[in-house]
Amino acid sequence: MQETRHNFREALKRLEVQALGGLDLVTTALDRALEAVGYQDVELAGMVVADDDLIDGRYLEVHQGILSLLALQTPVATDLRIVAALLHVIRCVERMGDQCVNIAKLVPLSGYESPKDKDILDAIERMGQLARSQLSQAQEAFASRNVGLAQDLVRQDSEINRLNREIFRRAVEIGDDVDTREWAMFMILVARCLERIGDNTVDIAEQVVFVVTGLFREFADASHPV
Amino acid sequence: MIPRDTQKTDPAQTQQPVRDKEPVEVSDSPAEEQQDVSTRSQDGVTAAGHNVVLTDLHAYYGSVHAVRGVNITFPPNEVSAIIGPSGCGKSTMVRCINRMHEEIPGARAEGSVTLDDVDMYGDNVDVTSVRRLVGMVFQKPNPFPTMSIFENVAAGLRLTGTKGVNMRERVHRALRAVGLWEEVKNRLNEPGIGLSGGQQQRLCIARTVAVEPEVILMDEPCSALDPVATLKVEELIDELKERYTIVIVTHNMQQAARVSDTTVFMLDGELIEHSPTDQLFTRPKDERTERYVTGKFG
Amino acid sequence: MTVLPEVSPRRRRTDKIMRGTLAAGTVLALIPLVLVIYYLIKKGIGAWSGDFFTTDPNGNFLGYPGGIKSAILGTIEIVAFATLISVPLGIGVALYLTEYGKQSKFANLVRYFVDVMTGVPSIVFGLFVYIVLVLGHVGGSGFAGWKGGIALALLMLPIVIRSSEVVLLLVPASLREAALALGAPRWRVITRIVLPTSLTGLVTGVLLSIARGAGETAPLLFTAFGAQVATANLGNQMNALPLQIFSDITSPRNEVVTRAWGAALTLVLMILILNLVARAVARRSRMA
Repeated sequence: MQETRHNFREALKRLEVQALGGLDLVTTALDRALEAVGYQDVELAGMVVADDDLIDGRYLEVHQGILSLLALQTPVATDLRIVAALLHVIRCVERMGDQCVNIAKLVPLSGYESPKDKDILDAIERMGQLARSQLSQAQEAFASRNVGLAQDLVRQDSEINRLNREIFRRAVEIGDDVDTREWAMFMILVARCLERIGDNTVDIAEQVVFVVTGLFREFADASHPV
Repeated sequence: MIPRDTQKTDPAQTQQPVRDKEPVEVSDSPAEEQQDVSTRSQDGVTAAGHNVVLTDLHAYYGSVHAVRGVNITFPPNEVSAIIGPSGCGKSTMVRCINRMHEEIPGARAEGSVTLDDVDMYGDNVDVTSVRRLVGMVFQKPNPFPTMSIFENVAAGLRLTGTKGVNMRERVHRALRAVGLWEEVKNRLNEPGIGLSGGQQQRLCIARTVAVEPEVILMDEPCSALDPVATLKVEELIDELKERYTIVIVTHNMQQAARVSDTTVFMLDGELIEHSPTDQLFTRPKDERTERYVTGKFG
Repeated sequence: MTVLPEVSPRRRRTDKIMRGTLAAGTVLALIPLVLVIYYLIKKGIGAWSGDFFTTDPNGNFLGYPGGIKSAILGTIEIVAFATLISVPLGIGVALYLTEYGKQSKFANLVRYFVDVMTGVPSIVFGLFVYIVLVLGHVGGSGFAGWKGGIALALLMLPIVIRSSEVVLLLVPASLREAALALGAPRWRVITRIVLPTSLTGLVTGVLLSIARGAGETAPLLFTAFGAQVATANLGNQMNALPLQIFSDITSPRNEVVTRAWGAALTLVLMILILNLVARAVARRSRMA
């Protein structure tokens, strides 16, 4: 006979794969959104908005799966914490998807052939890379229940936050040209979306610690500045 | 022996036995008058599983109306759980399926119970052949105390006068099917009651399975077992459904949730809700079901 | 801190008085029993010898009066015959009551009659057989061993029925249910499950009823009547231990009276052995 509660274990594993797989969907959306920003590609931006349905669909699937698992299998202890954490994770996935959509929606608004500032663009690209790397690290940390890796995310996120503040400062000092100023404002908004994505990965990291230790601690908030 | 699931009869040969095994000897009552249900024909439907249909079933204990007009289909090769508060008629209803209900003095049933469209309550149907097709496992494990482990598993075959079967092969196969083989293979001649509670219950399941029924009824099979033994039996049920249609009565809602594909909720003899388990426990259709599963009464 | 009240001295005294009274009553009740056994052994053991068990009580009028061979053989034959009749019949009735009749009106009527029969004085059975079988010379003779056997069987029958029913009811209903649910016809449930499970209990009941039957005198007085010579033919008049005792104890000859005591001791011993065997069988079943 196999290990006990075979069906339950399988279902739980599948649910985790589904939820973490949502992070892959987010990564794809993020890549596309940033590319659209960089090349002001309105069509690509439109695809990002349309494909958010995939992420929303994934959210509903995982949500229903969690309800079923709770009702039918009555998980306890670590299993219960995993299920609760997956609920958080998929919420974060959905929010991150929305942030990618927000970025994409800014593309047509920022106009074609607008003047662009190289420093800001570089910073945006750097933020994008960091966000991508944080997504991947969060996924890895959860899948391998690695607390160290989870806590390291805070360090990376502080870098994203710093870049966000820098872009803001740069935009304020950008000069008098109306078109440039307008473009820079939109870039601030893009940066803010990226910063939100970063925060969401930190939320996922907090869930990793919760699953492993049973304790919930905010890594970085108003009372615990990094 | 030809495996069960590949046996398909030519619809033209309507008198062919369903399974390719030696004819089962019926009891010594006048054979001409009694129809042996276990050799009924298989119609052209190719389902390898067996479904049970209850139509307008009523059951009485004297003047007490315990089951009131239940209509239900138990799908083949699925586990259906029946839940409900004490006295709601769930055990009574299930006992009508294998006609054990009528063994109680003063008890009677009306309506129709069909197995693959054959009426179990037909006029000339021999009750013992119904019970050979519909096996039952009880709440308290009840191995026969005067028999060894081997004899217990073979008891069903011996009690029904089955001839021409390889007894040893059937017994070994049944013990393997319930996962007891490794634990008892070296002590088949020891008394059946020497096993632990969980093992005894699996022994009783092996005894039921050795007769090769088509449907297995279980009346609160884990109530008398500890949690580990309960889990083992639940895993077993999950494996058994590949070959049998299973109906399980349980007052343990979590068990119904874990183990069944479909759940039926009964109250005061009536069928209130019959839904896929997933749905019944996340979005019950009837308010009474909701109140029962959330523990507001029961 | 919890304080448990102490037992009052008055309570202690009452307890002691109660214990003392009950113990004294028990001893009082045992005295006659002990006396009986004592007398039996003291008076009976003297009669025992090799000849005692191997010769018939048809000895010389003046010399050795003979042993009790025919009485022992007669008891064994008559009781065996009675057992052969009452046991299958009795167990059969008990099976009907537990498996088929259950609480029906007829079954309850049967139970009532069986209860009445256990209260009937044993001499009435003897008289019944005397009137019906002996006077009419049924079977070609008057008094006969087998007619004594019938009288004993009538006596033993209600005992066997009662004790068997109790034992059969002890077989858990769940076993019958399990067998029925497997598709067994009811008669197989009885022969393969109910009877084997209750076997030791039934045997114990039978042994006890045999012990009872072996000790009865009255039913044999007008049926087997007694005889001197040992015979294997149940159609003849037959001797039995209780009959022998009955006829010997009033004799003026001391040797004959002693023989009576010896016979009594033998009878008690036989019954004791039967009881011990019944106990051993019961204990073995509990240990299995």
